[in-house]
Amino acid sequence: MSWFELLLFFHVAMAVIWIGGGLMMQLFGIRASMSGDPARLAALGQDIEWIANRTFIPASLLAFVSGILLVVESDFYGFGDDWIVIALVLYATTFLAGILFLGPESGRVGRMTAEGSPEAGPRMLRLIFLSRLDLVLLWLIVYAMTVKPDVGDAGSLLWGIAGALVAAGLLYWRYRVALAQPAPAPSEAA
Amino acid sequence: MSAYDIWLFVHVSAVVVWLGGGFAAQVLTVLAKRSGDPARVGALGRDLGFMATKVFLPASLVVFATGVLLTEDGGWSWSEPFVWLGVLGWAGVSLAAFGYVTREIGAVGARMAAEGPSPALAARVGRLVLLARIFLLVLFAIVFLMTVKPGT
Repeated sequence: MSWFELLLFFHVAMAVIWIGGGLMMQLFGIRASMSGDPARLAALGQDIEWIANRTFIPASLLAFVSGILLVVESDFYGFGDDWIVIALVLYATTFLAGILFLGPESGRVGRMTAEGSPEAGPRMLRLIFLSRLDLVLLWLIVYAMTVKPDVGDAGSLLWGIAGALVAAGLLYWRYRVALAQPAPAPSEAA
Repeated sequence: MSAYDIWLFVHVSAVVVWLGGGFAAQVLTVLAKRSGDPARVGALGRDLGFMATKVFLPASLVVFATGVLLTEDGGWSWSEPFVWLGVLGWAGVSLAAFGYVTREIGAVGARMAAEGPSPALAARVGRLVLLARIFLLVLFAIVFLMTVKPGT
C-alpha cells in the first residue's frame, strides 16, 4: 500500500463527509420548512452553523490539502491537468462562499427565526436556494474527479456544464415558487 | 467520456449521499441528544426514518447497481478482494440498517415525542445510534477497499 493510496482514501472520505453532509442539511432543511415550526427551523439553523464550522469546513480543507498532496505524490497527474484546474477553481469558489456567507448567514437566519422576525422566511428561502447552488458546484467537483474532463474532450465538459445548468435552473424555479407561496401551517405529519 | 466514467460518477455520487448523509445524521443525533429536548429528539427520529427509506436506501441500491456495472465494464474480476468484500459489506450493512435499524429509529422517535423520554427509550436510542455508527465504520472501510484496492 502506497502513500498515494492512503491519501486517496483520506481525500475521498473527507469529500464524502463534506458533500454528503451538505446534501443532508438541505434535506433536513426541507423537512423543517414543511413543518412550519419556527422553533424547529431555528434549532436547525443553529445546528447547521455548528456543523459547518466543526465538520464541513475542516473536511473541505482536509480534502483540499490531501488533493494537493495526491497531485504532488502522483507520477501521472499534474497541476496543469484540465480537470485539476477545474476542480481547484470550483473548490475556491465554494469554500469562500461557505466560510464568508453560508455559514454565518445560517446562524443569522436561525436567530431571526427564533426572534420571530418577518424577514426570516424569505431569508431562509434565499439561504436554502444559495446553499443548493453551492451543492451543484460541489457535485461538479465530484464530476471533475471521476470523469476527469479535459478541453480536448468537449463532450465531457459540455455534459458537466449542461447538467449543472439544468440543476441550477430547476433550483431557481423551486425558489421562485416557494417565495410566492404563503408560509405553511404547522403540520402533524412533519 | 466513456460509460465507465459515467458509472463511476454515479457510483461515487451515491456513496457521497449514503455515507456523507449518514455521517451528518450522526452529528445531528449528538446535537439533538445534547439539547435534552424530547420533542427535538422525536422529530429527528422521524426525519431519520424518512431519510433512511427515501434517501439512503435508494442511494445504497444505486451504489450496488453501478458497482456491478463498473465491475463488468471495467474488466474487474468478481474474485478481486475489493469487489467481493465490497459486495459482502454492502449486503450486510444494507440488510441490517434498512431491515431493522431504520424502522426502530422511526418507532422510537415517535414514542419519545408522544410519551416523553424514559430511561428505557433512551437506552434503546443509544443502542441504535451505536449500531448506526458501526455500520458507518463498515461503509468507510469499504471506501478504503475501493480506493486502495488491496491485492491488485
